[in-house]
Amino acid sequence: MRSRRRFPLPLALVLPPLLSACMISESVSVSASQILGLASNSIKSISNSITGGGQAGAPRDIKAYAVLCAQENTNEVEFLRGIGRIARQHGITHWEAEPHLLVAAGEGLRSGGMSEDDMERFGARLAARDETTAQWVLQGYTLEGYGGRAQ
Amino acid sequence: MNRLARCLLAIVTPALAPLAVAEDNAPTLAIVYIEPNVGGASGGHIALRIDEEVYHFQRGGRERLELIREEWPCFEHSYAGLQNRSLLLARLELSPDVVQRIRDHLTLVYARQQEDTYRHERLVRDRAWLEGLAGVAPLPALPAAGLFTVSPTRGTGALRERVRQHFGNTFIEKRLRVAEAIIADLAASDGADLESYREALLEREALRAIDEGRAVAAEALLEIDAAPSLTDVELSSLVALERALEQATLALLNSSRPDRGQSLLVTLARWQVVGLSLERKRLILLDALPDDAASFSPEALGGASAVQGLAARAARVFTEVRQATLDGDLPDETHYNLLEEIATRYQELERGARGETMRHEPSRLLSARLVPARGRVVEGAVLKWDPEPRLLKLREELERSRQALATRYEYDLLARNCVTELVRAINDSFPDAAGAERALGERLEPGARWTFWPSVLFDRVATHWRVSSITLVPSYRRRELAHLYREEFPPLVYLREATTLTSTIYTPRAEDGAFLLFTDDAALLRPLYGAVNLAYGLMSALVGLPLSLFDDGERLSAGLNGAFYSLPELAFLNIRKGTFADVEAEPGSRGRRQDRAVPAQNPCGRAP
Repeated sequence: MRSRRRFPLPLALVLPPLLSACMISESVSVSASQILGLASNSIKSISNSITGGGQAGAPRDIKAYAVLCAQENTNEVEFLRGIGRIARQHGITHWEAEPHLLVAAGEGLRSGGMSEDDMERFGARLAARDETTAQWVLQGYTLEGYGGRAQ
Repeated sequence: MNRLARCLLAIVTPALAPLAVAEDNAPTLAIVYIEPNVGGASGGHIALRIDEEVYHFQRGGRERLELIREEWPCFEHSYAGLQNRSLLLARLELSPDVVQRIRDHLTLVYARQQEDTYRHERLVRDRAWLEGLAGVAPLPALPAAGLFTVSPTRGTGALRERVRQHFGNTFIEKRLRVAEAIIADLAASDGADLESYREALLEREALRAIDEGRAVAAEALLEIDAAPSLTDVELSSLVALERALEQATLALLNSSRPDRGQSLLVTLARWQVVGLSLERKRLILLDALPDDAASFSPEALGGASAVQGLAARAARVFTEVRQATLDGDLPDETHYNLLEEIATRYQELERGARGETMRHEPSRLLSARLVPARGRVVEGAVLKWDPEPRLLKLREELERSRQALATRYEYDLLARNCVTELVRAINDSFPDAAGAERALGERLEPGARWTFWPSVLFDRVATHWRVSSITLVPSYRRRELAHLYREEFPPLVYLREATTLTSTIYTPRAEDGAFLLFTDDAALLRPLYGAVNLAYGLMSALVGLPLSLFDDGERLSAGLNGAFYSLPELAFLNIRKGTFADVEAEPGSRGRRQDRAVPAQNPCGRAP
C-alpha cells in the first residue's frame, strides 16, 4: 500500500481547496473552449493539416500503439483494428493509402522489442490478409539507420 | 533564475505587465506553470511544452487523472485567454535526443491511456450489444450506418456498375454472403467476438448501399446557406476528389482490413455528397457530429449575441479552410475531413447565434478529429443461445476493467496529481536515475520537497534544472491592460479597469463569484482590496438569500464564492482573476470584431 504523507490538521483543511490544481474547469473548458474551439480541435487542425505541421501526429501515435502491440503480443486483427482506430482519430479512414502509417507501425513493433523471428511470423500472418500492408510494415521494422531503442 | 528573483517576478509582473511582453520563441522543451484561478484551478497547474505541443495531466469528467495532449495555441487560448491565467515557461537546455526521448515516452503513456480507454469502452459496447440482442435493452446504433437511407432512391447506382465492371457481376453478392455468414455465426456462437459481428454488419450495410443504390440520408447532409456557390477552381478539386473517392471505394471493397465497413460507408457517403455538390454547384458536406453529440444552450457561451461573434469568426475560418482545401488540386483526406468538421462547428454556432440549441462532440471524442459517423440501428442476428451466462461474464469483466482503470488513473491530492505524474513521466523517460540527473540537472522524486504543489515544482525546476530562460505569457486581462496603458492615460485606465463594474475588458460572470476589485495586479493593496471584496461578496450573498426562490440560489452562491476567494487576498495571496467566455487574439481588438476585414492570427492556430 502506498504511504501517504501526513500533514497537520490546519494544513489538511486548507490544502484541498487550494490544491485542486488538476481539475478541468468545466464551465470554461468544456462549454466555451470546445466550441470556441473551433478552437479546441478545428482551428488547431488548420495549422496542423494545412501547414503540414501535424502530419507527424498520426505516424507517431501509430508507432506508439505498435510498441504496445509488440509488448503485448497483439494479434494481427487487433493490430489492424488499432491502426484504423488511431488513423480515424487523425481524420484518416482510408489508411491503406497512407504507407507511411504502416511504416511507422513497423518501426513501433521493432521499438517495442518484437524479435526478428516473431516479426517474420507476424508478417506472414499479415501478408496472408494483405501482402502490401505486410510489406510496408516490414519495411518499417527493418528501416535502415533506425536506432531501435526499446521504450 | 534564483528563488528571490522568481518570487519578485511573481509579485511584480502584474504591475509590470505592460512591460513584460512575452518573447515566446517556441522553446524546444519547457515546463509551464499556470497561475491559479477560481474553480478547479485554485492551486495552479503545471504542463510540459515540447515545440508546439503541450502535455499535462488533468482530472477530467471521468474522475481519472489523464494525460492531455494539445496544441500550444489551443492551450494558450484556453489557459491564458479564456481562463485568464498567466503562464510562466521555464525553457530547459536539453539535447535534441533528450527532448525526443521525453516526447517518445509521453506519446507512449498517451497511447497506453488511449488503449486502456478503448478496451474498457469496447466492453461497455459489447455489453450494450448483447443486452440489445438478448432483447433486454434497445439495440445500440451502429456508427456510420445512418449515413444512408434504407430505401433505394438515386444514390450509388452508377457506382454499382463501376464495381461490377471492376470486380465482376457477382462480387457484391459474394461479399454479402460472407458478411451474412459472419452475422449468422454469432447467432450460433457464444458471442465472444462481437467486434467482428459489428464489423460484418457495417460491411453488409455498405454493400447494400451500393447494391440497392441507397442515397445519403438527408439528416447527414450539411449545407451552409450563407456560403457562396462553388467556383471553377473549387469544382476542379471536387471533380478530382470524386474520382479519388471512387478509387478508394474500390480499394476498400477489396481490402482485408477487419474494420473496412465503416470506412467504406464514409467513403461512399462522401462520394455521393461530392457528386451532389458538383451537380448543384453548392458545397454540400457530411455532418461530422455523431448521434450522441451533447446539446447545450447558447447561454452557456454567454447568450445568442455572444455566439454571433463566434459564428462570425467561424465563418472566416470556414472560408479560409474551404479555400485552402479546394484550391484546384485533389484535397487529401485530412484536409477534406477538416473542412467537414469546421463546417459542422460553424453550422452549430450559426444555430446558437439564432438562439437555438447547439451540439458539440461527446467527451470521448475530445482528443480526436470528427469523422462523419451518423448511426442507425441495424437488425442482425437472432440469438439461438441463452445470452445470460455471457452477459454475466461481460458484466464481471467490465467491473474488473473499471476497477483497473480507477487504480491505474487514480487521482490523489498529494501523491498523484498533475505535478507528480508529470515528474514521474519525465523520470520514466530515462533508463535510470543517473540518466535523468545527467540530462535535467536533477532527478526529482515525484512529490518530494513539496513539489506536489505546482508553484513549488516550478520554483524547483527554475533553480535546480538546466533552465536557459524563463518567459511570461500574460493572461488575457493583463495583456489587454498593457494595451490600454499604452493607448490611454494610465491612471484613468487603472481606476476604470480596477473594478468589475467599470472594466471595459471584463464582463462579470456568475462562475467567477461576486467580486468588485481585481487583486492580481494590486500586490501591495491586495489585503485592502480583499477586504472590500469580502464585504462585497457577503453583501451579494445577503441580497441573494431572498432571491434564491427565483434564481435557484445563483446570486447567493456567487456571493459566497466571491467571499471565499477574497480570504486569501487578505493574506496577500491572489487566486481569483476573472474568466472570459470569449477572447480575441489581437491585443486591443475587443469590440471591433465585426470591423476586421482580414482575419486576425487566431490563438488556436495560424491562418493558412
